[in-house]
Amino acid sequence: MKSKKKVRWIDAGEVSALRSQAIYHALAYARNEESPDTIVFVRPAEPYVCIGYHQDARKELDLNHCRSFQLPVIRRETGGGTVFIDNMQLFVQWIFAPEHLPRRAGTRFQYFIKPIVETHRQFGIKAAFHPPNDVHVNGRKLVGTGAAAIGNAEVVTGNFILGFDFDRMVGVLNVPGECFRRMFADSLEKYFSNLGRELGAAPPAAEIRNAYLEHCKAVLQRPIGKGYFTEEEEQWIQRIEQKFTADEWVFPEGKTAEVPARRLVKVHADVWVGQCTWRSKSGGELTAVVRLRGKRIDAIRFCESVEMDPPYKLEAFEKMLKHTPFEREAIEETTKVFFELHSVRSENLIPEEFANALVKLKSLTAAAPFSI
Amino acid sequence: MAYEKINECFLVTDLYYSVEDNTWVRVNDDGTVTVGMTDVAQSLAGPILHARSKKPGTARKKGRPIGTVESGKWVGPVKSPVSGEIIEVNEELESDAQMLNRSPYYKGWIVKMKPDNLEADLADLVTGEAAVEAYRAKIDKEGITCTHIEGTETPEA
Repeated sequence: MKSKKKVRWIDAGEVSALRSQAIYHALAYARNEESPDTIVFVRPAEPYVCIGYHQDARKELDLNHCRSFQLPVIRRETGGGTVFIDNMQLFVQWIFAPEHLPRRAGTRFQYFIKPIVETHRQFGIKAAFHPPNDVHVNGRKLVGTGAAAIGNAEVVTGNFILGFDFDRMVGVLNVPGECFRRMFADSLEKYFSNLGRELGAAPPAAEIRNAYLEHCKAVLQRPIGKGYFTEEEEQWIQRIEQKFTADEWVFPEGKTAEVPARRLVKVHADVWVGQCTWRSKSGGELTAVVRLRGKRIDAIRFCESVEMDPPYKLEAFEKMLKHTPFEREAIEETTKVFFELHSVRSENLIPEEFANALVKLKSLTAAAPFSI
Repeated sequence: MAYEKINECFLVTDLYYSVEDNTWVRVNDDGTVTVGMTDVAQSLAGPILHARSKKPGTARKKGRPIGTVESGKWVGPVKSPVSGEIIEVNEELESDAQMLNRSPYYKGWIVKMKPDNLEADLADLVTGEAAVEAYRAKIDKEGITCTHIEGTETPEA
């Protein structure tokens, strides 16, 4: 893994949304034996939505919303979920020879994240690596990452988030309904952070870049020097931009536009928001949106009126379910205890049906995630 | 099934291997080949969330991707160890990509191919004792220890 060769860094400045994604792909495809390992900094001039390589834009995104807000949709070759990116993010992109990074994907992320963590710490934020590939502070996600083997390179990307427009982000996701959207918005607010939020005001991007480069030197133990794109790399950037704007790239054939009735979306490594709908034997359809944190219910909201006598007890029920283990028996038991404790009767909320419907969400845990 | 175990990494000795790309080839009786990724590959990738293969009918040159896998947030290609046409893909991987982790040499096969020139391609791959030695050298050099997720089907079973 060791190399003593100088690492090139390039600050591409503010570029179009498309170019902010095209650069690292282009450098990876252009890479040959002579190419230096490279760290690129870039900020998109305008906001956009970016989906992971294995994601389906028609399934993941509210494309009408994206169109009406003129948000370009770009599909990248790295993994991970949908990201909303705007000018308040400083992108960091590593394009390295595969043999100069740890071979194991998990270790590679940890290695890449170290200087990002140290930079946040230098600015006074108690950031820490959060496995498998995030940076957190006090249970909130600060940085997301992505990686891929592209061309002859290993690419790893991450970002410094100076500030974040939560409302704009919430609108881009294809969700089963407004109930889900509200819970998702609350979850972003609660479980995401950024430099601006932590510090009151984010440091200037150039200051972050310079601090980060010092930490890169320490981690890589290699000299780092400013550089520029070669002519060949510039040509590759244009080639990738053409590829990424083609409909067959953004919407590959064979993908499904189906939006499932049950949905589970990742907020960050420990937090998920899910929705399930079920028909009670006594008649009537019920929908609940649940937020999971680790193996417990973190919040739950019923989306339609649940026949409950007395009716005002529904909110108390939602509160009581908080922290309940996300297991069928525990949910059923908590529901029964609540009914008994508060002398509540319900025609259509049957504890067993409710518990069964909720835990079915477990089967969706491998669903494509949504994250910053 | 004959196998070797090096640093917890399983190697089925009657397969042909591209050690560089961590893929294997099984030669079938009808002249087609089955292709998959090795135990080393699944260990380096970690738990796999998505796997997608090129469609049947796709012609691939040796070294070109026959599919991609995603683990965590890392995406990587699976490079074809032979030149030929993809004739069948393992559709089960679409809904259960972790089959690649649990059974890399059996249920987690990726594609079946009709090779263009099998003899020539096999000459570039290693099998049997030569494969064991090549992998031993690679595993030692790169300090690899294989890891297996719950439910893994090993040749020992």
